[in-house]
Amino acid sequence: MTKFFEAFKAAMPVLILLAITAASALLYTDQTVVTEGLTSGYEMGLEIIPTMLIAFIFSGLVMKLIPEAFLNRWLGKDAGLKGYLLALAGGMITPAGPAVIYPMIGMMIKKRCSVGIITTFLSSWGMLGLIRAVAWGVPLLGAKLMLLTLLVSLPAPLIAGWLVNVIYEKYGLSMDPDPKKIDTAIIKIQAEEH
Amino acid sequence: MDYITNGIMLALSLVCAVVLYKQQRTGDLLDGIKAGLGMFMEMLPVFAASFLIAGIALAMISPEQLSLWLSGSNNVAGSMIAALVGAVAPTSPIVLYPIAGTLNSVGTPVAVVIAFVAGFSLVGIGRAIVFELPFMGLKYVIIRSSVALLMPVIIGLIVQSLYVG
Repeated sequence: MTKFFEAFKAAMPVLILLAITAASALLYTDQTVVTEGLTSGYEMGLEIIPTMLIAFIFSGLVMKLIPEAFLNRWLGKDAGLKGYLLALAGGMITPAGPAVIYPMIGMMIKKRCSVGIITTFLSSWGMLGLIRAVAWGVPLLGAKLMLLTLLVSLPAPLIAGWLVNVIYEKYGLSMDPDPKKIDTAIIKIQAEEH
Repeated sequence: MDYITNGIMLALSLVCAVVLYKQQRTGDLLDGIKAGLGMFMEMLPVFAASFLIAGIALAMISPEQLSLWLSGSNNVAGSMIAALVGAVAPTSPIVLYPIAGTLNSVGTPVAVVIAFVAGFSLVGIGRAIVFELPFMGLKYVIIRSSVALLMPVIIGLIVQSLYVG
């Protein structure tokens, strides 16, 4: 019961947003738009949620296989420039869609990877994803324009990641909604190590 | 359902499971599966709601309306609007790239087209609401989106200044 309540509490901002969206749709358009939207949203969910389930299990297993020390060294808070460059390159060559990417990111957050590096990865995957550029950008915008765009935007993910990291550090923000949970987890890990 | 992606992911999961089993880490194997399932269940209500939001938003704004808004605009002001429209467009690159292609072919300034492309691929608030909000929280979505929002216009203008027909 508490678990259900917790999940509901976590979903609260999104539920409020859903209510606002539906209300403004009713206000500015009409009921058919809302029913149409709800149906297509439901269908989108049916399409994507099975993939996410598999991706979550995959991420859980991968995180067990990758040693914690390796994650900290390459993607942790002290990874520095090499972590950002790895994230930039990783984002460019990752072929998967959001249903696969975000479960991995979820696990990376749980493992306390750097918020800046995660941002660089997400931005690189969105902006510089090579498969998407070749499949969609080249046929529709032309190879020359697409290549130029990729080259010009190459530093953007690094800048975005670095800026987000600076903001998070300056204001002492944390990505985990419940820092207490993380602290107890760290104490447990440290106890196990000794 | 996306059978190819699902098949690949299942095969990769199986490889991980076999490796863990061979290393005689059955405990870790079960823990990994449990962690994945647990997180999935935690996220499910949020995702269900996010998909419904995306559905309604998409039904409210059609691709035709988007291209109509953007085709008449020019350079700096146009790029800003295009970046913003691209950023809040509630749909996926599969819909947005064709719009960018249409804009490009009807002679919209390159800066506007590229700002639009960079808007949806770099900022992507639709994607942020569906996928980032559940994992990273509202704070992260706001900070990342505002940081990224400045870049599409700059990228668009630089590309335009370098691009020769």
